[in-house]
Amino acid sequence: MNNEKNNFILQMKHISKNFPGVKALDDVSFDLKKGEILGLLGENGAGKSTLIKILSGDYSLEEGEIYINGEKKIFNNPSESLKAGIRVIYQELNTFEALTVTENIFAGELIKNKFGIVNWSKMTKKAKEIINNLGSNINPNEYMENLSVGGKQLIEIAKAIRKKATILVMDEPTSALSEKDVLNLYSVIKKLKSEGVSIIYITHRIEEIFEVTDRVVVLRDSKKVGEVLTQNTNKSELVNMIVGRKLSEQYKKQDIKKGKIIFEVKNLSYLDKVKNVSFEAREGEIVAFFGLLGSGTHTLFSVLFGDKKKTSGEIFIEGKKIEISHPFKAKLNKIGYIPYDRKEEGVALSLSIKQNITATNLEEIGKGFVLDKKIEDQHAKKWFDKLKIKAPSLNTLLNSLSGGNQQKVVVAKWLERNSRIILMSEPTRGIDIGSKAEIYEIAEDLCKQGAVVLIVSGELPEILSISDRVIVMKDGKISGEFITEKTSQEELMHCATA
Amino acid sequence: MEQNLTKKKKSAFKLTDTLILVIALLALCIFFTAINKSFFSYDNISILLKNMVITGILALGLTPLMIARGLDISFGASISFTGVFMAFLYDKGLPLLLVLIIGVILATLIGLLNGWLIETFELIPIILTLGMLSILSALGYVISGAKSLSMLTDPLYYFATRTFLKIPISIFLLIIFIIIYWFILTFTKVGRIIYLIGANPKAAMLSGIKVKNVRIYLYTFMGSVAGIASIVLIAMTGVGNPLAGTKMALPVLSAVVLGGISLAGGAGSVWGTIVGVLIVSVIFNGLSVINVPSYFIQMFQGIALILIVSLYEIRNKRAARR
Repeated sequence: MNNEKNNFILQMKHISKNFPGVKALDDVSFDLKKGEILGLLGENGAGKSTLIKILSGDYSLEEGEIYINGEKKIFNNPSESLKAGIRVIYQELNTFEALTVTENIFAGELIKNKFGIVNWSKMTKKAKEIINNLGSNINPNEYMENLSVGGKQLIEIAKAIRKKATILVMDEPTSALSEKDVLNLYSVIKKLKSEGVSIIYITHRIEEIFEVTDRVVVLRDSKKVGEVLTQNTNKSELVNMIVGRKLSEQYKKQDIKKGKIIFEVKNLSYLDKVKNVSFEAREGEIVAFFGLLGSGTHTLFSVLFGDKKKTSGEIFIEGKKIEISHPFKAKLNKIGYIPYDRKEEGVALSLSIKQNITATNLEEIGKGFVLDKKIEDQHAKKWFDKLKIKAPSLNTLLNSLSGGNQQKVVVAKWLERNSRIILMSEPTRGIDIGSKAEIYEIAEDLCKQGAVVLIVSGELPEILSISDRVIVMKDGKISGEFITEKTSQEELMHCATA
Repeated sequence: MEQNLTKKKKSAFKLTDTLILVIALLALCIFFTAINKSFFSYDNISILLKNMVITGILALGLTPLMIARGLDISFGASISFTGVFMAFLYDKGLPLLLVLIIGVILATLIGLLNGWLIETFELIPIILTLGMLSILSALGYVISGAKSLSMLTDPLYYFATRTFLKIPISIFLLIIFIIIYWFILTFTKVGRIIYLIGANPKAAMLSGIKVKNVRIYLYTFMGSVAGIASIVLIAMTGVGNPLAGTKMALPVLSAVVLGGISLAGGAGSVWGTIVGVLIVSVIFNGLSVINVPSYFIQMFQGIALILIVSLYEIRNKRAARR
């Protein structure tokens, strides 16, 4: 015991957690040394989030023990976990957008003088100190809403440091970052490590494991399936541990015959976010759109689907000009849309799988205005089986599904509608490797049947492995177009930034 | 096998939710009867049910609107205003049927205006309908000269006083409303659309559902319901009263919220609402029967509303934490 006390800042022993009908964690143990960066890998639904929520006090501990510096702890609520020096930075950042950087860093614990008046100069000075120490020069008086996602994340880290966090948990910190911000983050993490902060780094991206971590713990199906030193392992070993089956490392694209042009966009503009965008797409083609944050790729898709009204330009489907004033119009023209923000825009979390799937196609679920629940079951079942959605039944609520399965439901909504032009905004964001490959397969299947798939993605390896053509955007304009086979990550990145 | 199990567990959970309310309702009835036996007399029960008709149809009207994350608190003022207006027209000699139709159309247009303004300019429903409440109350005073206008007619009197199989006729109106709303919310595409909007308006919109239009229809329909409630009120009181609707918002909203409809939308059902209406009506009637002064009753209603909302909120937090 004494020996361990010196070595490990955190030990989680034999942790199990049950939810109604599901074992979310099954006898998971791991430990964390001072100044160590531990990678936590696993598919969605493998138990990573549950493990972290037990550590953060969001979930109560049912079985197992937690030791901090060798001392047994029980966290009844998040504030007790915070007190023990544990700080979680979630994928969705919890920042106060309308407040300044300083106010965010000191949120809830402003520095006051003896009269109870806030001492702004001292606080700003301290905020600046912390930020500079993290290697950044963000102005402490800047408003949060004006920062990039990477900047906001850095401020959350700064807040954690200010609160003297000794264990920092980062839940997929790079999922919304540009490549430059990712590199910044890596250097911040290394800096923290050198100062003795221990970090649990949760990710789906195996490459990142090799960039930052010292050791990796892999979870699968609620159990720990592996624990290795990063230097002693390699990518394919980790992939095998994660999925438990052999999966070719990179998805290999099939050759699909291209047909006639069915989708054409001419001089499309939206305010100053999208400027004079023109392109066309053929049957059976997968066209990827790449750009950094603010390049207009996501906005372009919103405009194409009628969520935002274009300010000028024309859209043609099979040569016929169409006006898309509302997503309803887009739907009628056989356009489908998988939005960037799955939880906010893609699914109704409190409703069931079948209710979500048929949401786009109620017209065909029974005659007249009465809903035919038998037909609904048939329709939903078809996609439930075909897309291999993992859930106890069609009536399972969306909020109990993993990200990957939720995304399949969103895809099913548009398959149900028989859509021929599918817009996918970061379709594999925050989902596991297995589901990713399945989403790619679905995209290819659609193409084989003569559909067009347009994908916005920030992941260059993904773009290179699945698309036929890449359109790069910068500042709302198209800055380049490439045949996927004849281009490289470097060329695309250069085009997006230069 | 496993599929069936999880399915059963869920429906059992839902059942207990309404079951708790039903048990509370029974407990209240037993409590009031224990203090004063006349609570359970035919006379009192039939008064209770008759008084429940207006609260009931208004609560039903609000149910789909609130599930779809809308809200209307102007219905009370709309009832007063259209009531006074109908009495005014009837006094001028217009035929009864025409007067009633005009009344309902007027209330419907008020609902349409509410919905159109809220959805077009993306206003906060409670603020807009609060403004509308104020405008309509004032208009009611202007038309009536701040007095009740009498409107006694045989058909309305008949509707308000006669019974069929010893059941007051007006109760049948409520039953028809219950059946219609239950059918729409449970079995129709419109019902599903309402729940889809309530669960996630943005996702519903991005599924190609015309969220704004649907909500405007729901506000409009709520207007029509207020118009019908206004007619029932005139039938029961014989007057168009510019103050009649002012105290309606509290019991109606209490009933709806008690029945499990959250202000955040997405949840709720017709049965929940009906049990909510029953509980609110029993509390009101029961307290009167055991001679609690009316201003205390109003206070109890306020306390009950706050209590209900708090309890639901605590429960939701617990469920989220688990």
